[in-house]
This record gives sequence, structure tokens and C-alpha cells, in this order.
Amino acid sequence: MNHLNVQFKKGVLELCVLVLIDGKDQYGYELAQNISEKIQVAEGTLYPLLRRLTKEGYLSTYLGESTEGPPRKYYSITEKGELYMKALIAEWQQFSKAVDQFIKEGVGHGEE
Amino acid sequence: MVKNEFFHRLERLLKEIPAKDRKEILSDFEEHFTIGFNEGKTEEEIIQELGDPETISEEVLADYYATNPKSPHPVTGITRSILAAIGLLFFNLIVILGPLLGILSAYIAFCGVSVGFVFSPLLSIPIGIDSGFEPFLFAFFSSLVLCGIGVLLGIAMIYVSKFLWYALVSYLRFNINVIVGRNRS
Repeated sequence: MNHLNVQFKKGVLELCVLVLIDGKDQYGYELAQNISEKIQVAEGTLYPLLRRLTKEGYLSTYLGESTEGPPRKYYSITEKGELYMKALIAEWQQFSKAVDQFIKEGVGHGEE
Repeated sequence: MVKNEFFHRLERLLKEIPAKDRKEILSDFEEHFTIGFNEGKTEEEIIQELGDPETISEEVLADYYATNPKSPHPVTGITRSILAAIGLLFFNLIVILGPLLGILSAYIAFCGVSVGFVFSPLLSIPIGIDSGFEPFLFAFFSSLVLCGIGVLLGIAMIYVSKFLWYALVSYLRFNINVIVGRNRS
């Protein structure tokens, strides 16, 4: 994912973060692991993203006890975040469908 | 790079954002390290995953300035300077001007007295011409005392003027700094 435009990557990451947190409240470290399993990303950049989403009211935070070590900062999605995520998903699906289409036509055309 | 260095660099790179935000960001990373250690990772592994402080700080600053457009930075510098200048103008007119004029006139008066005392022996000459030798001697020697006082006062005034000049220059410099917006950490 290194060649894709930085802004593009940021937008997609934002969507991934919202979807993952919508699935299950999680703390920063957990989220970073879940994302970096599948997408190559500097985990440190997720924290600014989480802060921004929290500031914009899409996420809220609370402290959750942990069995080992100090309490952890959990992120959960807000109603506003839920709406925003749905809008992003719709946009993403339309976008990726179109991109897939272009790729299929382009690559297919080249092979003929 | 180890954890301490990571934090050190990150903190330095983030020094332009408010201390409260900076502390929160650093504590997020602190938590990340703690959990990573608990999972048996080394400092190097965790830093490797996080990415370098430069990348992280770029992200933080970009987000910070995107969500805080009212930041007191270059864009609004001119407005800020004008407001500061107007504020200072009123402050100077109302609070500083009166005492300053008082001090300056006292200073000038003392200088005048000092000069007058130093040259007071000259006055004994017209007294001598008018009233003869003995009054001249009396006036001459008593005015010598005044002359001595005048010299001492003059020396004192030299120190006072140095001090006043220094205070005035520092105050003007302070004014300029406030208007230009330097000295903000």
C-alpha cells in the first residue's frame, strides 16, 4: 500500500478504523494490531487519526480495566460516527466497484 | 532507537502544539508501549511497528492544524500584531505615561539642580561687586559647599540616567516583542 496516495490511504484507514470499532470497542494497541495484520501502516499514525475522530465526535473514549497493567483507553463509536461510517461505506463501495470495473476492462482489453 | 529516544524526539517535534494535547498524545504512546511489553515485545519491535517520530508528528500536526484553524500562527500574525499594538498603546497611555512623565521631570529637575549647584560659586562674584569683600568670602565658601553637593548629585544622576536608559530600552524591547509575537514558547 506504499504507492497509493497518502490522502487516499488516510481516508481508507479512517473507514477501516470506524468499521473495526463499530464491530467491537477496542483500545489503541488492539486496533493497531488488527489493522497492521492486513494493511501495511505505521501504527503510530493511527493515534492522531483516533484523536481526530474523537475530536470530531465520531468516537468516544472510556477507560477500561485490564487484567495486566494500568487501565486502557477504549474507543467506541458514537451515533454520529455510525452515520458517518455508513456514508463512507456507501461511498467506498461505489468507488471500489467503479475502480474494479476499470481495472477489469483495462486489463482485459490489454490482454486481447 | 530506544523508547526514551522515541519519546524525546516525538516530544520535541510536537512542541508547537499545546502542552495538554501533547501530553495526551504521549500518554497514548506510553500505553501502547506498556501493552507491547506485556505481550513480550522489545522496545525496538514496538518502535518498528509504530514508525518513526517524524512520520507520526507530521500526522499529528496536520490533524492539529486542520481541526484548530484559529491557531495563532503566521496566517493570523498580522491581526494579532495590530491588536497587540492597540492594546499596548492604551496600556502605555493610561498606565505608563503618567509615571513616566513624573519620573522624567524629576530626573530633569535633579539634573538642573546639580548643574545649578556646581556653578553656584560664580554667583558670589556679583555679590562681591555689590557688597564688598567679606560678604563675597561668605557667599563664596558657602557656595563651595553647594558646589560639592552639586558634583555628588551629578555623579548620582549619571548612574540614575544609565538605569533609566536601560529600563526604557528594555521596556521598548518588551513592547516590540509583544507586537511582533516573539518570546512565545
